[in-house]
Amino acid sequence: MTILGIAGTAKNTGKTTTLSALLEEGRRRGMVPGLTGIGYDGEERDTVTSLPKPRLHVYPDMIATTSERCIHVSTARGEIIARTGFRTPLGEVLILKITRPGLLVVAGPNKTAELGEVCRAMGKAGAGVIFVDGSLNRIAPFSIANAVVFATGAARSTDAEVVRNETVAIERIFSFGTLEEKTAPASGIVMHGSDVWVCLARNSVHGREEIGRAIGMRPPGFERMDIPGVVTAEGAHALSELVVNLKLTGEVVFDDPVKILLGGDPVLMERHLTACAAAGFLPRYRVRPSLKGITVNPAYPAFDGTVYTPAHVEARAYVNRVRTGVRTPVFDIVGEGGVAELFDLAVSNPQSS
Amino acid sequence: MTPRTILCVPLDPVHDAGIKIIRNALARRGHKTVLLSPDLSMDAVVRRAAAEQFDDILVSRTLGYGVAELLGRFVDLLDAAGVRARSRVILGGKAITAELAAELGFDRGFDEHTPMEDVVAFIEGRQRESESSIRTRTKPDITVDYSYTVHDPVVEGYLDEIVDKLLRWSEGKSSAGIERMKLRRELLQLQGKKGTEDVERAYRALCDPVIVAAREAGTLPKGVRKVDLREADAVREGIRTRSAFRPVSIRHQRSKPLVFKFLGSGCPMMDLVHGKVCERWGVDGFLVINPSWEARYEGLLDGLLTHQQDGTITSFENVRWMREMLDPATLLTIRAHRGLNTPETVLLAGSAGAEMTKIDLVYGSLGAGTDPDRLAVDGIAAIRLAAEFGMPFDIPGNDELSGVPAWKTLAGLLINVHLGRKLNARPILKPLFCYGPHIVINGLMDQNFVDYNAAKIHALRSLVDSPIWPGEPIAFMTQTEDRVQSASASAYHAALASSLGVDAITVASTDEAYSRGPICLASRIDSIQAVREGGRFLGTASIAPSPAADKTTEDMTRMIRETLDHVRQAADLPAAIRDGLLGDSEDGAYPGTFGKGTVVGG
Repeated sequence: MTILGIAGTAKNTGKTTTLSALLEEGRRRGMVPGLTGIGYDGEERDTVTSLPKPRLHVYPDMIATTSERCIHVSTARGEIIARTGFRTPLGEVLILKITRPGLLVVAGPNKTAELGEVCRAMGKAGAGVIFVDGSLNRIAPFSIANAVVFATGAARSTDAEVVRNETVAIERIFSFGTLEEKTAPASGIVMHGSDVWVCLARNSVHGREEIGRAIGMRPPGFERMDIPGVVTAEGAHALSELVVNLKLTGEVVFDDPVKILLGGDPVLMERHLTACAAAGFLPRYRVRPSLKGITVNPAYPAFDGTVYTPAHVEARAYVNRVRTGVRTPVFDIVGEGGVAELFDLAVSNPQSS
Repeated sequence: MTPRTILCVPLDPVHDAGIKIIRNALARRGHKTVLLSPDLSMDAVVRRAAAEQFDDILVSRTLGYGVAELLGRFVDLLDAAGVRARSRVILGGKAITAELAAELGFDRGFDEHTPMEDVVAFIEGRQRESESSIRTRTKPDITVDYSYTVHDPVVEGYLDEIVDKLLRWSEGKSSAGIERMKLRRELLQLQGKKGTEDVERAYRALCDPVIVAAREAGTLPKGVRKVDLREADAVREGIRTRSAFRPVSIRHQRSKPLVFKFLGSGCPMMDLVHGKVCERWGVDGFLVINPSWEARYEGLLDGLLTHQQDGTITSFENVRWMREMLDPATLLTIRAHRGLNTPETVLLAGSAGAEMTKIDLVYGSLGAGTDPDRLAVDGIAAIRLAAEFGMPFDIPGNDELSGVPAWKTLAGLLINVHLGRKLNARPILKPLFCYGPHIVINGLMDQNFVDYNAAKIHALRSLVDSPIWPGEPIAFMTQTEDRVQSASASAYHAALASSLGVDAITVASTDEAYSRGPICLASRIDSIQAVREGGRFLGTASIAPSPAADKTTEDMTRMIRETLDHVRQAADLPAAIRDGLLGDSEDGAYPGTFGKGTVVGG
């Protein structure tokens, strides 16, 4: 089973458009993927800007999730094959087998653990590939995905340079390697020495203080540091400073790239990790979804302080600027197309990097 | 109930009053609460949430530019820190909806209008009452507490004499309207079974050609068409999935007055959509207004029909549609007293489940165009039917808008009330809260809009124990096309009505008098919002009329008494109306002519 997450760097960056294009490509190829989300999507109008939104079309035999309240405002119809017991503000999450094509308002679980369970249930119901629709800038649940497509664009910043720098940083954060052996997540920071290890800070958010204390207590023959949970930007900064100043070498193991992105500004986080790597203290992940593509949306909701209106930057120059220096394929799905290529990358070869 | 441990997080640099109020409410219920200061960074909040064991994390934040992303990251941090697995996360603040809360990954969202008990109920895992309160609210009956006792024996004597004389006058009289009502009753009972055609033929024989053409050949009047069943299905489906689950509370700390709105766009589909939105905004009931041309024709159309112009057609199917689709507790009133179909309209309304109807023998004959004889016989039959169906009927004093002095109008209302009681019906007085022509010409409201309106209510109360429902709508002729002015005028008059303790009010939309077409929903909500704000402002306090109101009340009561004295001396009520005793041509009121010479028998 493959889980593909469609994440966004901000609201209105084109997640739904990307997902919709991938679903349509799947239909064209005769595939019946699964579809779920980490919030709520497919509504007629944006919940914040009130501007019209792209909708999600589903087709028969797809396995998809919605909720008790959303099922009634969808034009697609389906057979409820499982009730998950997971509650959202829009009712219980339901797993459907689509019987009549149409628009679906997708609602999914709002916790990573629940998303994992829902995906497993969808897989058992026959979904070989499951698309996970992102929500706003939320990314935490994508730690369980095999592959991720990031949507970004003018809604993130109308300055292409800002978006390019962030995209480069995200790509770099996703490029650090994984451990060869599979390990369970630690319950606190673990400092590995030549023959002892020290478990510290049974917390899951690590700042300057926790990082400093852990490094101060590193055992003899120190060679690896496991940092589960989130490292804040200050924590990452402290880590890079101490690594350089103390000339530490070895590995620092994070849960996954998502935890790094959650720590703060991706550009700063990437800078701190790269500094560690340059000093010989190599960042690694326990698990890592593959970054398969970047989609760029030149349209954005312009806000005049009172109302939002549709607006867009000059597409070609903007998208080309974002592409500069990014090795991951960058797509402007609406302006340039390329959905077949993205589908091949993300769905047909989800595990390859 | 097991006390819960709750972290209260004001993720807002300024506004933390709301979450403090919630915290206090939860603490009073015995829950352990921890309130963070509003200046903590998001990381610091997440670290605190991760370091301790909280059952719930309440986050307060007003939605603004970029806030959605901020909240999204907050939820992500909680998730990544493992907090989401053990704590529910709840968002509250202005403009927060269930949809947004879901999109952001919260377990629940509450906006600033959410009742405190909903928040507490959610925390405690109880059924949230207000989600279903509109379905569980009981249908109000504003007549139930009234005896209809006439307090003034002199007035009671006058009213007895007038009504007895009217009933004697009407004995043995009938009209095409009454005969059609009887046939219609048969048609409703037959429901297309054997014998329907004969009854239908007899019905058509009593109709005007326009109605016959529609019933016989399907040639509907210009601008009228049948509603496509697919249209109705689409509306039904849309309504079904957008139920009004949490009506706004219009009355602050008071049980009265009920708030009514007009419907009558011509299209029952549009009426319903407006009705459902108004239900959500807390409106208690609707008055359905029919097209003016319907009043002029003998006979009514059948079917679910839409009309291109103002006024929704009176048909069994149209009334039933509204009744079935509105919330069961919402009151529906069908106007009956205009024109030539009064008894049949009451029959259809009652058969289709409407709760109330509208009959005023005086106004219907003076301002609304029906011949006094015809409306008298039809009106009596209609009131008997209303009694049979248990439907209260309201008596709108809109003849005041023609220029009739208030005391004459109020005298007419009292005659109708007394007639209603004699026929075992449940009438409702409906004096106007208006700036009518007679008032303007004579400067009766130059000082304020309070005294004269208050005097009407006080005068009526001094005479009879009856429900009072100022209309129609309140603030009539004080409103301009300026929406703020119009909404404010409605709000002030509603506050006065509330202060006077009346039972119900009818509230106009802000574009009611000036729309030059269908009323728009935003204008409906304008005035509801304004009335709600007025209710909140006044609360349980009162508006004190000036001392001049007492003198006006006294004068008004005396002149009502004098008017009734004049009317009792007339041959009968229709004769009194024709003679101008309840409003004459100098006032601006003329006896109607629809149906003139059509009363038979007697």
